[in-house]
Amino acid sequence: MRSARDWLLGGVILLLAGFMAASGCSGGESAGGDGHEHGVMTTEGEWHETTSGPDELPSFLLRYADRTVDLYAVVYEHMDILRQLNCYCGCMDANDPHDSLLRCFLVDVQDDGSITWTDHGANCGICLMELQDAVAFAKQGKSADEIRGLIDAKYAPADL
Amino acid sequence: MPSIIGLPEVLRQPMRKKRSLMPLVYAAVVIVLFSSLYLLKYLNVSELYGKPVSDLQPATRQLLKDPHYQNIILPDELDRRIESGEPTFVYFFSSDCGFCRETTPVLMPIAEELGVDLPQFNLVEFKDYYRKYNIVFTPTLAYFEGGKEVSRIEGGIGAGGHSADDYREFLRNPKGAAS
Repeated sequence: MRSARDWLLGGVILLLAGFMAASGCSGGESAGGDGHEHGVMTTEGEWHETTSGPDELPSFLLRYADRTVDLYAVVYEHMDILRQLNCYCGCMDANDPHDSLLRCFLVDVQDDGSITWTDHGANCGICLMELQDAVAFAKQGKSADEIRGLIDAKYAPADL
Repeated sequence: MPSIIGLPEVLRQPMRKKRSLMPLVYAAVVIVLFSSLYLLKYLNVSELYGKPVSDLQPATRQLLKDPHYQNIILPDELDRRIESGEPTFVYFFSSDCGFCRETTPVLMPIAEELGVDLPQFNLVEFKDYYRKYNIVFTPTLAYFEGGKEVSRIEGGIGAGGHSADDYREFLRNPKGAAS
């Protein structure tokens, strides 16, 4: 026969498990929103999500406007140009992982072809504007150097 | 009576060696500690955002006391305000957007000067609203009337964006400046 104490201890364990589940859930919710997204929140407050490849866009984009999704969809094919462009969102300051405009959208391409995306660009007006312009320039057949010059001329702060 | 068999067992109970109460005390202490950890979070709720400060983005936390970011509007109130049909401007920004940080300190004094109430909506805290109000380039200053958007000006003040005068003109005459 179980004593009242055994039941109480069982209750305590359940309660602790409940607390852990609750805090785990709320953490996931604040980061991912509906809790169905798979990704990680970085210390900079960026949401990183990995997909199988360029044809699978990250699910965090479901919360953004169609135009934003369209722009993310052309990041991969313009990777080589975007890698050479500066980002003027203030994210390229010292000690920051952002080393190019590309990094505002795409973190990494793994050996197996899977891609890690970041939601930084989706929250960043100037990143999206630069991307939109760069893609338009690329369509006009401009070289990476030309595009970089045009982007710098348009977006670089006057005091730099 | 069937319970007569069980009775001696119950009677035997007090004869057992008395068990220590310490495990119960430990358990109680652990419960109190855990629940206070959980509750502590709710002692520090941001008045502006109506949620615990620890749930806010780092960039938002930096702006909590900034005088240029004190006219924050929350999702429910934003929806109500727009659905009511009354004419209203909304400044959609994101606390981690550098362009917004350049724009807000210039824009808010202009709005004040013109006597325009300019509610500020921080998209990075309520990301579903990017899609809901079709916001692409932050900051976006939008004008609503009759429950729907009439016009907007996208991008901030500064390089690649607009001038402070463009914003002033938009606040004065949002219907004429539709872009």
